Amino acid sequence: MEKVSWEDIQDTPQLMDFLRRMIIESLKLEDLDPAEIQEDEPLFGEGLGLDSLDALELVVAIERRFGVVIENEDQGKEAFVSLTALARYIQREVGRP
Amino acid sequence: MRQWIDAEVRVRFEEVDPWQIVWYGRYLSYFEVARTVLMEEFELLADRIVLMGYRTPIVSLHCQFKAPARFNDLLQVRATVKVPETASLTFLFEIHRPADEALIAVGETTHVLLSEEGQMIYKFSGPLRERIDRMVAFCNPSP
Repeated sequence: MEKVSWEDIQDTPQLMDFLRRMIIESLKLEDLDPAEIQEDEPLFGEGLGLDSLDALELVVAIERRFGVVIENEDQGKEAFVSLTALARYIQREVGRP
Repeated sequence: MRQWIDAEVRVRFEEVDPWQIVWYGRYLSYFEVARTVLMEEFELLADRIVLMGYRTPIVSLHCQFKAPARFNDLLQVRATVKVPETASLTFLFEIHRPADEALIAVGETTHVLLSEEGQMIYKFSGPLRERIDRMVAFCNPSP
């Protein structure tokens, strides 16, 4: 995935697009059209259908690209509710000491 | 090159099915014999992990059956662990029969980490991480 600066993607629509591509790339879902990842659809379970190992992959991808650490399932529950929730979580946590 | 830990298993009468070969589910407990030797070496047996406040359930299991093992065969069971890219551990297994150099089965299990309360842990940390790092370094020595 190409390197981008936070300034270029911190606005929500750009960040959502970046996250859609990051999810597809890090979970090797190349058959999925980015537009199919709905903004408010659950990422796990009945929505996009991701599982616990996918969560671990996303945690690593998010830390690598944004420096945002999601330590456990409790924090993940807030971040992985939906694409919108993930974007908000990252916007809030980026740059936090 | 990966470093493997070896264990020996002799096939018992009760493990053989009516076709006179080892029933497929038994190979998984043979894998476990070698994994236990590996985990014990690095103080990572299930009871030690529980004392640290964690559990490590299996979330994925694969096995390919290459040749049948039979009653009283002496088998060499090997285990190693891959370098983890996430907070999970993937073990690799091989079962060989040295008498005729047959490869009997190969397998793989993936384990995740849960807290005592059943919450999934997304990052290894503390003493558990140190022990895991030692085991991973042993199994995956730098060239």
